Amino acid sequence: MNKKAKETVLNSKERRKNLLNCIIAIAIAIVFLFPIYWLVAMSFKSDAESFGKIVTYYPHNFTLDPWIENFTDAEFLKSLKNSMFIALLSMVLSMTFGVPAAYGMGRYRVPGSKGFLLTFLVTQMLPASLMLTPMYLIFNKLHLLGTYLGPALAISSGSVPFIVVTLRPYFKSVPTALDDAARIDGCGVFRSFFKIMIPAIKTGIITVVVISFLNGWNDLAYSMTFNVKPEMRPLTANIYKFQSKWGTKWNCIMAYGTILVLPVILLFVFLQKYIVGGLTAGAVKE
Amino acid sequence: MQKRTRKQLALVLTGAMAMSMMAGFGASAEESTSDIGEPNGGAEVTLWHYFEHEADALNKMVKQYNESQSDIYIVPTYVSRDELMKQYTIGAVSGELPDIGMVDSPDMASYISLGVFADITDYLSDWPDLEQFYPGPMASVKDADGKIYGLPNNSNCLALLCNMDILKAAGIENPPTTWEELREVCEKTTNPDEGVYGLAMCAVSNEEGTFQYIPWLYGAGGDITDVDSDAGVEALTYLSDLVKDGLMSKEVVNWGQGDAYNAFLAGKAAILESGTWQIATLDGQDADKVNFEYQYVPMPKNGDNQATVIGGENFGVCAGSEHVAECADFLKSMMSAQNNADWCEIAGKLPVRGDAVELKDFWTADARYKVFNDSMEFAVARGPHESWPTISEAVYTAEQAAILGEKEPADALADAAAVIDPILAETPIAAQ
Amino acid sequence: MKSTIAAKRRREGYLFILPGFIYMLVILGYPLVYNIILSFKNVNVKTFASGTSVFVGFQNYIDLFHNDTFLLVMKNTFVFTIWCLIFQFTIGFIFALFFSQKFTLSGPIRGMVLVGYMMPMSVTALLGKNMFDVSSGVINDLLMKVGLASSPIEWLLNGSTAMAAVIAVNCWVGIPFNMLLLTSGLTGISQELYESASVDGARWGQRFRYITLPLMKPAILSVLMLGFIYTFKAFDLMFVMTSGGPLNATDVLGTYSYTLSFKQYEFSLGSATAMVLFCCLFVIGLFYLRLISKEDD
Repeated sequence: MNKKAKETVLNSKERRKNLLNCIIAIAIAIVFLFPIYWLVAMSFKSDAESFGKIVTYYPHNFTLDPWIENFTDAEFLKSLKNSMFIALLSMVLSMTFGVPAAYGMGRYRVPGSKGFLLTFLVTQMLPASLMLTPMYLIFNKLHLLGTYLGPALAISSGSVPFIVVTLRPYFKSVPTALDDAARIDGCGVFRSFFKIMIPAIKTGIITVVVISFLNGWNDLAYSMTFNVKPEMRPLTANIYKFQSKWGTKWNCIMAYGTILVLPVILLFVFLQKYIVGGLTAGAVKE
Repeated sequence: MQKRTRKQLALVLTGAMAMSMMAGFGASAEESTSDIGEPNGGAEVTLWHYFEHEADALNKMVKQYNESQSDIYIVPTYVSRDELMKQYTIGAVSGELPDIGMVDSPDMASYISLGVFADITDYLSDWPDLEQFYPGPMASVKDADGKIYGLPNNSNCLALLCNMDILKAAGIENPPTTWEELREVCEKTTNPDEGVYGLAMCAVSNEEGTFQYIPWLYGAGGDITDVDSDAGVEALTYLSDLVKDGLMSKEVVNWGQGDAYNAFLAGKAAILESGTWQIATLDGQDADKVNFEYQYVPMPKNGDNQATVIGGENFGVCAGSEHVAECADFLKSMMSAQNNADWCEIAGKLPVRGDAVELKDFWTADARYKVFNDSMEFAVARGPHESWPTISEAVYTAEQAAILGEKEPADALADAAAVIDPILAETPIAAQ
Repeated sequence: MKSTIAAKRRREGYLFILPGFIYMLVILGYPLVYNIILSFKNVNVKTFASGTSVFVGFQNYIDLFHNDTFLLVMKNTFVFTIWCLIFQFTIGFIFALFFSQKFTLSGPIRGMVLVGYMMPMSVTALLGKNMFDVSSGVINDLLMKVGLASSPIEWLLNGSTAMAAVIAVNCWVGIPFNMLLLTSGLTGISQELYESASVDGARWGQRFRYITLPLMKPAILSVLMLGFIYTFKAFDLMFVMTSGGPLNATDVLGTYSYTLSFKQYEFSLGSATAMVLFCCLFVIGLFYLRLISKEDD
């Protein structure tokens, strides 16, 4: 009897704690998600309301005009396509060079490995403004200006070190017994890399796929500088066209921004667990 | 569980692919929204510009030219102003430039010295029309030796745009004509409760800020060669006092000219320092928002002094183009009296040559354009100077420091002079 | 026999590492060298046209350190970075601790908070510019509605408040990032340690101090250093939200170097500024490297 009473007290105490935690968590969510709500809400306001003297918390004059303006713009659709291509291409490039390097550095002890790691870390530190002019000159010589490959190469130079740093500990943590067994079975180096290693660290792979895709999707500086023609520019570079000598059209900017953020949110909804797990495992297991 | 995620990943990636493919189809279906005429068999030359609402008019003119000859086929491309400036800068190093490029007139001198534009003096030497061009705009396409690198395309200047409803409600019948009257109007129309200020202008930290400051500097009798003179201090004090006394919003330091214009349209200001090109938007895209009576008046006088500033765009042939002669011919045609007059009428701008003004009564019959056309009498050019961007930065920085109350106007201008004076001592502004 | 196996292993290792390594050297090596050379010359609009640029040794660096604006920008960069680190680390840590508890909504909400971290910075910065607007910004409106401000705060018009605004926006991105990295450090600590400590009667504070902190040290250090690297080279945020204004109050090394090179055509000064930025990062990077390699052994 006594024991039972104690349990219910504990239970209700825990339930109260759970409730309290949930309330705090919801409060945090409200603060952190409010800007995103604001982004979306602004995109449904009329010109006057978005620039008005009175701040409105939801669109009082609900309108689809900013969205229509974007979606009926041929340039917008091209930009959407460009964003996709640049992001996918830079992702493929980054994976091709990054994943094997991470594997090599995680599983082999080779002379100079510290030098390699240092190089990859240093490259993570290079600010974009330092790279723009020299890269522009190289790409000009190689006739890569005005192509998808130019920005994709530049963006991948940021993603490759990220992949190396993130995946290296993953590869390290795979038990050696696993690929030893594969070797004994007669698996070649590459076969065991593709058939054993990659599947073994699937979580990490999903993470770097998503992040290197987003690196390309979010890029502004490179795509803006290496592609002048509007038909080659991605969404990030064109969001500015609403800030011009005709003033700032907030509702259109926000509609544009919502479209830019949409894939990010979608990727999140579907792959949240992997991104969270993957990112954390990589950067801190070090 | 693992299977499910793989499925989800596949789903997202397929979705992404589908989206990009759809975008691809969409784009191909809507290819070529601008009509510039069928290819005429001539060599393709590129033209970069940052005209927005004027783009259609430009394309029409290009189409006409493409159809009239078969040496070159011109393809215009829109590149935003900031972007274009950056591309010229890097292009000067790499040689990756268009054949024909548009440039804001005060920046042209820098690009000439960077080697962006080709010397086309020889192609223009026997062109009789040249003397019809106004000296101010013309000076901006020449270097110190008088060599010509392009042709001016249009001019504009600044004047005051008054919301007469607000003025009348405050008991003022006539727009201000002097600095004192302007100050008085500001005092009477400012209404903090309603969020209405007397004056709106642009004091943003780029060329637009300097552009809007020049009329006040010269209007006080000052000069860029001596920015911290008494007159210079008077001008800046006048503006910073408007802010200090709450008659002009401090936000002007973050407003581009378009933002100031929007604030005016939204009824947040009684008077706007407004450019010629804004007439076209008042009539066009913003016609439904103009639910008040307005009137343009020239920039106010301060004693005997009165000034405004010349703005405008030039077109040049870029260095490294394989078709310099043909491009120069296009410029001549584009800026012929008739074409210039037609173009400026459509785009809401002032012509750059005297004989173009005479072709139409547009600039004199419309009271609003007349204000700007007449203001050209006392309009001041910026530069030309190869270091104009640095000079301009010193000017808008001083203006912002005073308006934000970080520095006294005299101190702010002394700092600006410390930057500007050595530059001008080394290379003076070319006489016009 | 043994040595040939070792040699074979090495070859395999290089086979995997070198393509990526060479790729990075090609893409980034030349720009870096080019930039270093540029920073020791006097390339600007004048010398460029006449082709008379010469090597001037450390003159650009000396000029920079005698330039008030540069010194201000330098200070801004550190102020920005340090405040961002303080806020995003502390709050991030608190959030990580909070969400490491098991309660009904811990998983989903922790995920939602992360969206800000993944968004394009250009959109985030535009959003910040809009929300911190003096007259039509929602932040001022909220502050006044709840009575925390009696009149609109001129956020982006005063140096210190503009800095506060960009720091706030950056923290919105940085807090989830820090939380994420610290969360995994926390999950690495075995629950048994806590349980046995509880049995011994250790209170929450004691457990935090004697178990959590020491075990988290490597994670904390690497979070701080990564945070420093990403924050110190900020560019997009200021470039879009404030253009470095008002009056260079939010100008940082990244944006200032861009202004010098692309707006004033002082290419060499711009390169020198970028090099200063790079060197600061490099120093921190060396610490980071030492940390990583120590744990490797």
